[in-house]
Amino acid sequence: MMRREPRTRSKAVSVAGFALLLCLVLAGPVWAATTIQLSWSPNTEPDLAGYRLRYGTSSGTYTQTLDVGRVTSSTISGLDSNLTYYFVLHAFDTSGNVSLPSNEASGKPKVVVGPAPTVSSVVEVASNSSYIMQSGRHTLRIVGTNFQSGAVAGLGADATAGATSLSGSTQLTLTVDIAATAALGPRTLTVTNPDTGSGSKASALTLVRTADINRDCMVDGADLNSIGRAWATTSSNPAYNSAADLDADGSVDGSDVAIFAEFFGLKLAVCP
Amino acid sequence: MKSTRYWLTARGAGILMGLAISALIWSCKGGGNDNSPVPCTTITFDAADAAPAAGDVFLSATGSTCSTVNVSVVINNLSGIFTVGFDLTFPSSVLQYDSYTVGPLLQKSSTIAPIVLVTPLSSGLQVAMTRLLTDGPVAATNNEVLITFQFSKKSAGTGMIDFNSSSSSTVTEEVLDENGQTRPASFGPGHGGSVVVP
Repeated sequence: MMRREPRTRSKAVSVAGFALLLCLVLAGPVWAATTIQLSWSPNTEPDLAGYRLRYGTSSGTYTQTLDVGRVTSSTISGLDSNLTYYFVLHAFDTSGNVSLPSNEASGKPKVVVGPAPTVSSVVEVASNSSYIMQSGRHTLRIVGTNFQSGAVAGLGADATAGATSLSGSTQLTLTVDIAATAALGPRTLTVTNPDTGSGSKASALTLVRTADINRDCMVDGADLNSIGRAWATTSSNPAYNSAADLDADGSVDGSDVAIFAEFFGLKLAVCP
Repeated sequence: MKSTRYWLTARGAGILMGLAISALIWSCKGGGNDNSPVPCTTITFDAADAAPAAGDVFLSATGSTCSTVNVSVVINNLSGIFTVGFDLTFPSSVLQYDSYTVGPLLQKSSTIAPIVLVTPLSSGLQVAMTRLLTDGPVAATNNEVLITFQFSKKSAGTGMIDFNSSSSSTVTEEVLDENGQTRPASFGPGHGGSVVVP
């Protein structure tokens, strides 16, 4: 091992000064994660090789080590904005001698909120429509701006959203499970970036009853049969079939056929 | 001024005469006639179900030219027809789907036009048709046309047009009555046909 006991006499490598700056450093044009920037006064020993940062979330206990080279500042990223971090700095020379630690510096990173995301359009991928059916699993394509990797999207109650995948910063793909009892009607889609920036679109999608009326995982002629049999009926009519009233407006009519047509011919990945 | 006008008129007459002579030579060139019919071979569709039985749903050619072919879905002797669903495959390398025409069967005594959904795919069609509540079911007497699809030539070749009963199909081949019950209809195998595009 190259590491020796740190020298404590005049030849020893020492840390001349160490200061912690809590800074917000934009890592790119879109957003910045939680970071802390540290800087210190340079050593003057001619055989100085570099500096070693040690840090952790408890004073005096440093679980992370980072050799930062022969520099006088460093930015630590990927930190938890809810925690306080404690840092010490060591200098080491070309012979591998390591100094005693500097004074401990501590700080809490701040969160930088980048440009808020905007949502311009949302479609249910299988039907390429703005309808999403009760029950089952659906994939959504969300188009907008300023999306970040790891963004979370939601459709409100009884819609369990999975992880998003990002294409550029303008398109998110999302899988969402809709409960069989989810409330029908327009839904607001919200996108929240990891930096807490958030954007939403009201009435982005309309939740409708499943077009797979007979629940055989296929939207086909048998389901259209249910609509035909309940055609032009209202909820007071004995022939009315609420399952065929896809938009739940109390009548089986052209709007239900329009919704059905969007899903006709689909084999559902998850049966309703 | 007057002499100038006269000169222009004489020149115009010369040009007109030249054009007339050119047109005469052009029209007589080769002694042929541009309106002569060009011989061609019509597209043929050879239906596989030559002797349909009761309840058969099958394909039949109902007209073709050198560049188009009409293929009808026909039902033989079946009652209680309210809804029909099926999907077709066709050779997309030689034919292109253009349009459809609803046949008389589902429109019998209807007060409301039936709902017809036709979804064209890259090499197939998904179809669902239904009568509506107040009109009740209909019966096919002998052979009656449900719907006719118009295809046009894409390139020369051959292939099959048939109902898609493969595992990849996402539309069930079926005829349903006004109660949602399945009628005893048969979509094959052997209810399609082969097409030859010259």
